[in-house]
Formats: sequence, structure tokens, C-alpha cells
Amino acid sequence: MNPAQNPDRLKFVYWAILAAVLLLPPLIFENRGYYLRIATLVLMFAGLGGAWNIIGGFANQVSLGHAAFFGVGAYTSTLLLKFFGISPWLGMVAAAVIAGLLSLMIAVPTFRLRGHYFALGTIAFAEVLRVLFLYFKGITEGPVGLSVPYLGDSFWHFQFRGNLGYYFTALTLLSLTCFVAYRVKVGRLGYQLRALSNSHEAAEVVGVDTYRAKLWASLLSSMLTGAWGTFYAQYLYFIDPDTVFGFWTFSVKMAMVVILGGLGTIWGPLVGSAILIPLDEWTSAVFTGNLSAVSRLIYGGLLIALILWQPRGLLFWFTEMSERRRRKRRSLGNPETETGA
Amino acid sequence: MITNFLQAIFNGILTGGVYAVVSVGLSLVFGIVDVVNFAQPEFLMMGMFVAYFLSVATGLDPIMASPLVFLAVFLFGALVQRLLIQRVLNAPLVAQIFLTVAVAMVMVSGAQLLFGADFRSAPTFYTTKAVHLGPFQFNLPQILAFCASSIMALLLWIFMERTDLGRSIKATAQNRTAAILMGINPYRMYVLAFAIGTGLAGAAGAVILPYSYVFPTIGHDWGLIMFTVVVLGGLGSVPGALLAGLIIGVIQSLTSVYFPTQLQNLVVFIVFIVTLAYRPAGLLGR
Amino acid sequence: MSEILRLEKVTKRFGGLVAVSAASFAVNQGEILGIIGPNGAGKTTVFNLIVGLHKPTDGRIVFNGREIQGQPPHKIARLGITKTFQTISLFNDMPILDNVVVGALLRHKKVGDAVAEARRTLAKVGFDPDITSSPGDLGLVDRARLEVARALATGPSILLLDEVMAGLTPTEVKVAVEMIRGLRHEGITLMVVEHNMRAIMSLSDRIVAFNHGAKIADGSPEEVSNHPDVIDSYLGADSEYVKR
Repeated sequence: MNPAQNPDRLKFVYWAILAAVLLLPPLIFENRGYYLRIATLVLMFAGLGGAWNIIGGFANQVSLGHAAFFGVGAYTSTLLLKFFGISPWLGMVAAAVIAGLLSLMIAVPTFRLRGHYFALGTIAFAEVLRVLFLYFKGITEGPVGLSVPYLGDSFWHFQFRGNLGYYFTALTLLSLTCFVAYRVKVGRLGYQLRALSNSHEAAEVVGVDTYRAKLWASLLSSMLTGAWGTFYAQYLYFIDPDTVFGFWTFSVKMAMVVILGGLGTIWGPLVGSAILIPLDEWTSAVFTGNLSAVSRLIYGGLLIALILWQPRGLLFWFTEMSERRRRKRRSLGNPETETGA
Repeated sequence: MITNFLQAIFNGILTGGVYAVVSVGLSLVFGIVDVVNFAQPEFLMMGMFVAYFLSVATGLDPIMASPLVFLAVFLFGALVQRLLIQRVLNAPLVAQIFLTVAVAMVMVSGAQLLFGADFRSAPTFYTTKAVHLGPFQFNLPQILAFCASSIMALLLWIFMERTDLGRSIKATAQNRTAAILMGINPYRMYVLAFAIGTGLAGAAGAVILPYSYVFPTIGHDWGLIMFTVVVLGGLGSVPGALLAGLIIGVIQSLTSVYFPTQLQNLVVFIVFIVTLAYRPAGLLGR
Repeated sequence: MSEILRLEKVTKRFGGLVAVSAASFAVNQGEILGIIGPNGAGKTTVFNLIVGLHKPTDGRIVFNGREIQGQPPHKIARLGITKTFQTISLFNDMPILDNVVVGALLRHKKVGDAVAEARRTLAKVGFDPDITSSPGDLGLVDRARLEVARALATGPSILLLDEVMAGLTPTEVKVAVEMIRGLRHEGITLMVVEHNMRAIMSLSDRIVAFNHGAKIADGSPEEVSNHPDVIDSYLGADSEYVKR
């Protein structure tokens, strides 16, 4: 049976495979083991990528400073926990809100900027936050970093034994991220973002409020990123400004995952993350000490190769391939030829 | 009180001159190739290492070695442009941005692998010397760096304004089609512009070596300054970058006198953001 | 016929260059206003001023009694004025249908409704090729049609057409003229910039002529085509439209 003739069945198959793949790690990996941890990190970066994608992929506003929201999220929940004993779950909501407010603040000076200028602006903001959080040692402990207080393993404390609890939390948060991304993509906002990323002027002239569209995208993107910041803090038990506001550690990485997997797609971030994160961990494990720079080197080299070969990401390459195959099959099986490419 | 103030201003001008030359290459590349080279700070780092090893191997003074350093980094930059950047000139923005980001990654990790993370320095006979003029003190390495930078800026100006090649580059930036019709090969101009831009950063690296440590990640410290300077001066404007370099140097110098050191760069950031927000074209931008 | 749009002494300066100089004219509801003039006369700038892409240096633009100069384009689109682009500005990374959906989203909140409206609009302009393919694959005529469809989907009261017939063959021009007349039947007021005099003469109820940013003539097609300034600057004495 030709699967193309039965799209519903195909969809079911895809979802089944996805579910299997996502539910496999907790089943086969040891709870406190290394592999489940990597799987959890894969989910986290998939989520971060998914959040970045909303403005970087859908709207083509390349942000190189998303670590700003990530770090703010991480510190918000941790400081609320440390000083007021507030549950990290509530902290996560607060983190999202604060990150969202921050994005609105950043929007004002940066939204009139295009392309490279916008990227530069976002870098600057992340750096400002990094410097500020390093400086105000009294609150944030500065470069030494902040440890998340250990309250005992429980769901309420957002602290779990081993990786299992975190894996499922990440899975839930990732599902939320993908859901939001999906709703944006197929809804009004998606159309408007795609339009304005093609031509700002033309979009405005046919009625798209480009400022508002970008604002919404930025808001959603930053709130999700902030929430993941909380997740990170609770998972790793330790945050410091150089890491959570880091250009290389987070800003670039979360974008890279999307570029590898496929800009503007829903599953691209997961694909990219599934490849990049284990690769990263593997190279870090293999090349230790003096050779630790090798992993960065490989990263960088891979990124260059990828950009030269397939600037839109793997999923694009994949869909292009299958489109071509489908067209070929159609034109071979059909006496009428296809119009266009 | 006023002596401190004036001293800070003079120091700022001295360092600003270097900032100017370090950043002018970035501005040049954007103006002509229309690409922001996020790896520009790494070319500075590369120049520093080249100068360092020349100094260690041959005892050649870094400032005297700067023409050689320029050449070395120039060639490397030409390769990067020709082999990599050329291929994404028509690619989506994300690709262009991340290509240079990836190049930066590769250069930093390459340096880390080759040279390790140690801080090195190449002290010269004048590293600790200073010149006293009235109540003011000027460090000799900084003065020499400023002089060298000024010479480089002058040479650049002569090249861009008075030579055919320089004018061809400018023509390509102003009107590509017309330039092509005049027989100019735009791709060659891009390579030249990029190579010059990065070569200048490398040469600047050489002249600051006498008073700076060199280590693979030094680019990060300089990145912000560079980008602020070019945005303030106007991406694409060579005189703008030169002027803005001096301004930023002075601002930073004054800030370090009146504010705690960790916040020294914060003011620069703020200048950056404010410029982006209210005058993205910069002072003299196109 | 009642007046729907009026420009009062609208001026636009770009630095030292005066692109539009004290332009004053009115457009009546339901009419087709032709705008002619040599290249660089300021016609596109006038359009850009009306839709809000530029802010006038001086003067007022009044639409249905309210001043709209300086408003952002999306607000003006919502009020009911939109334009097509001279250098076609289609959303090339989106399928053809999606291009029109973007326009339709202005009046239709739900994506489903907007998609239906987009399909209807494409049919209305007689669009034939595969609407799931990319605009980049289209020929000139179809690209122009798509531009018009996208603008039309916003449900405008006034539609500004900027040289939509550029590069069309005489047959294609005829089809375009018919399509534009059809738009008028729907109650849309049209302002049309064209160099094709045959089309403009047959389409327009009134014509405004520009030269060097200033309006030099305003009236019926016969009046304008015989205006000495228009003949001098644009038509040429040998033009078939000039009565001897």
C-alpha cells in the first residue's frame, strides 16, 4: 500500500515512532546513569531550540543573546527559592514572567534593527546581564555561583532522585514548547512572521502589524526560555553568570541545535539536539584536559560544513529529498506531468 | 582632580587609537562585503600570537613585526573569505551570521589546542617605561601602539582614497553593478576587503602585545569594544570607526577612574545599546 | 460621486531632494484615477505617502474625512487603503496561497476563513497556476496577479496599483484592464500608475499628471493628454493621444 494514499495512517506511524523514541530512554537506561542524563539534556536543548526557533526560525530575527532569558529564568526561581522559600514550580512561572518582561524591555531598542544589527543588540543585552549578575555579589554570589538549596527529593521541591523525574519534566516542558511553537506556526502569528521575514514593507502594507507580531513571538520565545532556565537550575543544582548568561554555552548552542535540525520547523530542534548534544558529551569525554578544545573544534567545523552544505538545516534537506522523490513517483505513475519545478 | 580627569582622557585617546584600528577592519568588511565578521576579535588574537612567536623565535619587536603580522593574517583572512564566506554571500542571514561565529569557534579552539590556555606575554625593553610630561604620565608601549595605529590608519586612508585598488573597492561597495560594468571583479574586491580588514586586526594585535597578555580567548574581551566602536561609528564607515574608537577609548578610560573596574565595560555596553536604539546608523554611518 | 481621498499640499523631502512637491488632488469614491508622468516624477512616492510607508514632510492626506498622514502602513491598510509594489515584493519563501492568506488575515480572524477568502480572491483575479508552489516560479503576469490578489484580500476601499502592467504583452494588457474594471465593479476605488497610455486612457475616469514631483495636470483623459505641459514632459507631440 502506498503510504501517500493514506496520510492519516502515515501520521499515526510517525507519532508512534516518536512516542517510542521518546519513551525509550527511561525504559532502557539506568536512572542514575550517564545515558539518561544525556537524554534529558537532549530534551532540554530541544526545548531551548524550540523556544529560540519561534523568533529565530519563524521570524528570521536571529538572536544571539537568548542566554539573557535563560539566565534570568534560572536566577529568578533560584533566588525566590533561596530567599523566600518559594516552590521552584511557582518559581518557574515567575521565571517565565520575568523573562517575558525582559524581552519587552529589550524589544524597544532592538526591534527597529534588522539582521546583523539585531543580532549584535541581543549579544549586548546578554552581556549586560552577565556583567550585572557578576557584579552584584551580595545577591547572586557573583562568579562563584549559586547553589540551589537541597530540600529533599520530592515533586513539590522539584528535586528528583536520579534523572527519571527530570526526564519526564523535560518531556512535559518540551511538549509544551512544541505545542506553543506549533500553534504559532499554523496560526495567524505564523503567517505574519513568515510574511515579515520575507518583506517587512510588503507585510505592513497588507495589514500586518510587524512590531506587534515580533513582540508576541519574542514574548513567547523568552518566556519558554526562562522556564527552561528554571529547569536547568533545578537539574544541575548550580548556576553561575558565566555559564547561564554565556554566549557560547547557551546563546549559540540553542541556536545551533535549530540550524542543524531545521530552521522554522517543529521537529528540527529535537533532531538537531539529538545529534549535537550526545556528540558534545562524547567529544568532551574522549578529549579531556588539554584536548578539551577538540570538541569545540569539531563543533565549529561541523557547523561550517553544515552551513556551506545545507544552510537551512537537516530537516529541510530531508523534506526536499522526499518531495523530489514524491514528485518523481507522481510523474512516473501519472500520465500528466507536474507543472513547475 | 582635574589632572586625573585629563590623564584619563589622554589615556583614553591612546587606547582609543588602537580600538579604532582594531575595529576599522570590521567596519570595512561590513561596508563592502555586507557581512558582519563575528570572528574579527579572533583575528586580533591570531595577530597577537603570530607577533608573540616571532618575538620569541627571532627577538623581533612586535611593533616592528606588525607589517609581517599584517601579511600573515591578511593571507589567512583572504583564505577564509575565498573558501567560506564567499559561499554564503547569497545565503539566508542566519547562515552568514553563524558561519563567522563558527569560524570564531574554530579559531579559538584551534589556538587552545596549539598553544594551551596559558597567558603569555612578550615584554619588550619599553614595556615598563613611561614618559612624563608635566603632571601627566604616559606609558611608552601605549604611546608606541597609538603611533603605530595612526600610521596604519593613515596608510589605510591613502590606500582607499588614493590608489586605484582602494577606489575599486569603494566603488564595489557603492554600486556593485556599475563596478562590474567598469571591469571590476567584485569577488576579488570582497576578498581584498576582508583580508585587509582582518589583517588590520591582526596588526593591531601585534602592536598591543607589548602591554597585553595573549591567550586564546582574549578575543572575547575585545569583541564588545570592537562591535561598539563600529556601531557607534557607523557600520561601513571607516572614518566613523576611527572617530568612534577614540570616543570609546575615552569613555572607557573615564569610567575606570570613577567606577569600579567590573563595571568599566557596562558603560560601553550602554553606549552600544543606546546607539543601536536611537541611531543605528552611527555617527557617520551610510 | 463623493470624495473619498484627498491630498492637500503634500510634500516629501528626502534630505535635499524634493520627491513630491505640494501635491493636491482628490479621488472620488468608485472612480479609477490614472496617474502618469515620467520616471522619477514622484508617482511611487505619492503612493508610499498614502499607504504610510513614508511620512509627508508637509501637507495632509485625508481619507473619508480623517487625516491619515504619518500613520503606519498596517493601520492604513486596516482603514482600507493598500497598494501593490512596483518592484514586486512577494513573499517568496511562502507558497502562493499563503501570500494571499496574509492579506486576508486582516479581515478574517481565523486562519481557516482567511484561507477560504484567499482562494476566492485568487479565483477572482483569474489566477491559474498551482497555488502550492513558490512565487519564484511564476512568470511576470502571474506575479502581477498575485500581487493584486494579495492586496485585494485585505478588503480595501482604495487600491493603489503601481505599474502592474509593466512588461506585459498587448494581450495581457487587455486582460489586466478587464480585471481592473472588474475591481471597480466591486466598489473599489482605484488609483493606477501606468506607462501604458492605451491602458490608462481607456481605464481612467480622471488622470493626474506629475513631473519633477509636482502635479502638472488634473482632469479628464482628453484634457490631460492635450495639456501642453504633459505633452512636453511626457507624451511627446507625436503621441496618438494628442489631438491635433
